[in-house]
Amino acid sequence: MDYIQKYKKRVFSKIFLWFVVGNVITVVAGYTSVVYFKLDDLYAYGLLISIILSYGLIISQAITNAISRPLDTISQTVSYASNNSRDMNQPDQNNAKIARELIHSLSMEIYNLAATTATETTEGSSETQVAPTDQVVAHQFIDQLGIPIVGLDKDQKITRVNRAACDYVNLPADKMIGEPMYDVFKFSFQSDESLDSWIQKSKNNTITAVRSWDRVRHVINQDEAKQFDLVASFSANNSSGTETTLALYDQTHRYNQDDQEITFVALAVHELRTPLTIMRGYIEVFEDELGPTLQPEMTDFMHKMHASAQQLAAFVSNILNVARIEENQLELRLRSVDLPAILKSAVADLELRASVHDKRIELNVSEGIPAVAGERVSIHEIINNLVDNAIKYSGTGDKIVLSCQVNQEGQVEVSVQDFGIGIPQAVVGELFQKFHRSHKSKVQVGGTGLGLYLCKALVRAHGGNIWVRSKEGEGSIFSFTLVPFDQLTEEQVSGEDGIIRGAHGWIKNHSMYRG
Amino acid sequence: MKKILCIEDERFISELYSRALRKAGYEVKTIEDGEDGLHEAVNGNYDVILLDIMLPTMNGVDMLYKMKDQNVKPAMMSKIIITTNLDQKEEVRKKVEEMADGYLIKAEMTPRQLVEYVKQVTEQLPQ
Repeated sequence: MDYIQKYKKRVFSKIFLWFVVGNVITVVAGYTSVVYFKLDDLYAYGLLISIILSYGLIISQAITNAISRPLDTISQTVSYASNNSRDMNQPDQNNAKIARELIHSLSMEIYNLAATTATETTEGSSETQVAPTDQVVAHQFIDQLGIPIVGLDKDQKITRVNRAACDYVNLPADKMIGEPMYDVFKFSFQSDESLDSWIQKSKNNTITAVRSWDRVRHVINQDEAKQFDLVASFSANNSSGTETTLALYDQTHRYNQDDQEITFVALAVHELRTPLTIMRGYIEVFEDELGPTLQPEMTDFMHKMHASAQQLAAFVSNILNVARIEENQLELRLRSVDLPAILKSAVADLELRASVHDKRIELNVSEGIPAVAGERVSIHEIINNLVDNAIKYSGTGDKIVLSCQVNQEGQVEVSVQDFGIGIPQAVVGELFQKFHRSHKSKVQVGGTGLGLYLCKALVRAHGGNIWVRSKEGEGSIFSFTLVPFDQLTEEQVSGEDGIIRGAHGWIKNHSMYRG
Repeated sequence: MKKILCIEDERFISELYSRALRKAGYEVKTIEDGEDGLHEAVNGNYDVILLDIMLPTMNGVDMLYKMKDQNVKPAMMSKIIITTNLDQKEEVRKKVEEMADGYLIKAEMTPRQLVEYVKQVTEQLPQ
C-alpha cells in the first residue's frame, strides 16, 4: 500500500503549500493596511480576521474537492466494472492529478476483481476460463476500436455495441441493447442473400461461419444513408450469449462518389445516342416531307434506314441495361400496368422493322387479361428483343405471332412464335447465357448475344419466368410470365411507388420487416 | 400561341426539335448554353422548357434545382421537360423525375413523338 502513503504525503504537502501562501497573503494584507492606508488598529484586526476566515473557507472547499476526486473516480470505476461497461463511459483515470497512481492501481485491482467474478459466474468449465483481466481489457479494446461492432443473440436481439456503433447510428447504447436488430438497423443488401437469411441458414447447417457483404446500406432518414461493407461471424451455442457479431466498415464516402461518377458505359452510351438521335430525326423529316415524291424503291430504302436506326437505338439501350445488371444497378419500379396496351404499342414500333424484312406481326390477345405488376419500358424491351430475334431467325417464314393469355397458374403468359429455322436441342439450355448465339446461324445473322440474357434478367426482376420451346426447321416459341398485380401481397405494394425489384439486388434484410 | 424554350447544345438536335415544333404551331427559342438558358428560362415566361442535362457552363440538373427552388418568388409556371441521352443513376434520375414535369431519352424518340409529348403537356396548361 505504498501508493496510499504517497497519496497522504502529497495531500499533506499541498495543504502545507496552501498554508504558507495563505499566511503570506495575510501578513502582506495586514502590513499594507496598517502602513500604507493608515487604518487604525481595530479596523486592521477586523479586516485581517475576515480575510483569514474567507481564505479558510475557500481553502477547505478546494481541499475537499481535491481529496474527494479520487474517491469519485474509484466509485465510478466500481460501477463501470460491475455494469460491464454497457451504458457508461470508462472513467478517466487522469482527472485527479495528485492521486494518479492511487487511482490507477486501485482501478486495476477493481477491474481484476470484476473480471474474476465475471469468469467465475459464466457457465464455462475451467478450460474456458480466461485470465482475470482479459475480459475487461477486451471490452476496452473493442470500445476503443473505431469500427462499429454489434453483437446479436440467438433471437437477433442486440447484446452488445461498442462506442463506434453508437456514434455510427447516432443512438445511445441503452436504446439498442435488448432491441431486435431490425428495429435499429434498416439494412438493405445488394445480393441474393440477406444477413437474416444467412443467419437462418447458418443456424441450421453449421457451428461457426463467416460471411461478408459489399455495399450494404443503412438508411438513417430520407436524405441520409450510410453505405458500408459488413462482416458477420456466427458461432452457435456461444456461452457469452452473443451468437452473431457484426463489424461495419464504413464506405459511405467512397460508394457515394462511385454512385455520382459517370461510368464509362454511361458516357459511351451518351456519345452513341447523340448521333443516333440526329439520324432518326433527319430520317423522319425525309420520310415525312420527301416520302410522297419518292420512287417505291427509294421509299423502301428510307424505311430500311429508319428501321436500322431504330434497331441501333434498341441495341444501345440493351448495352446499358446489361451494364446495369452487371453492376447491380438495375432497379425496376413495378406498378400496375395494362399489358395489352404495351403489346400494341410495341408491335406498332416493331412493324416497320418487320416489314423491311418481309415479315408481319400478328397480335393475339385473349379477353380479360388482368393488370400486371410491371415496368412499361422494360416489358417493351423484352418484347422488342424477342420479336427482333424472331425477325432474325425466321428464315423464309413470313409470320411472327405475339400472343398473350392467362395460364393455368393464373399468371399472365406472353409468347413470341416464329416459323423459322428453330434451335438445335443441344444449345437450347445455353440460350439465355450472355454472348451465346446459335452456332449455326453465326454467319447469316448479326447480333451480340445480349438480348436473351437481358430478357431473362428483366423477366426475373418482374418475378416471372422465361423459357423456350423449339423444333429445328419448324420454329421457336419464346414465352415469359408476368404476375397479375392483384396477386402481390399487401406488404409488397406498401410503397408509394409500387414495389422495387432488382435483377439480383437491393433486398431488404428481413422479410417480416415491419417498417 | 404557346412559347417553348429549347435548351440544347447539340445544334442538329435543336434544329430538328425547333423545326418540328414550329410546324406544329409553337413559338420556339433555342439556347445552347446553361447559364444563358437559365436566365432566359426565368425571365422569358415560357409555357414549356425542354432542358438537356449535359450543357456548357451549367448542367441541366443544377438548372432544374434553381428553377424549382421554393424560395424564389414568383415561382416559375413553365412546365419543364428533361430531354437527355445521359443515363443517370437511379437515385439521381428519380429525384430529377420528381422535380421535372417530364423526362425523355432523346434517342428513344423522333421529333414527331416529341411534338406529341409536348402537346400532351401543354394541354394540361391553363389556356
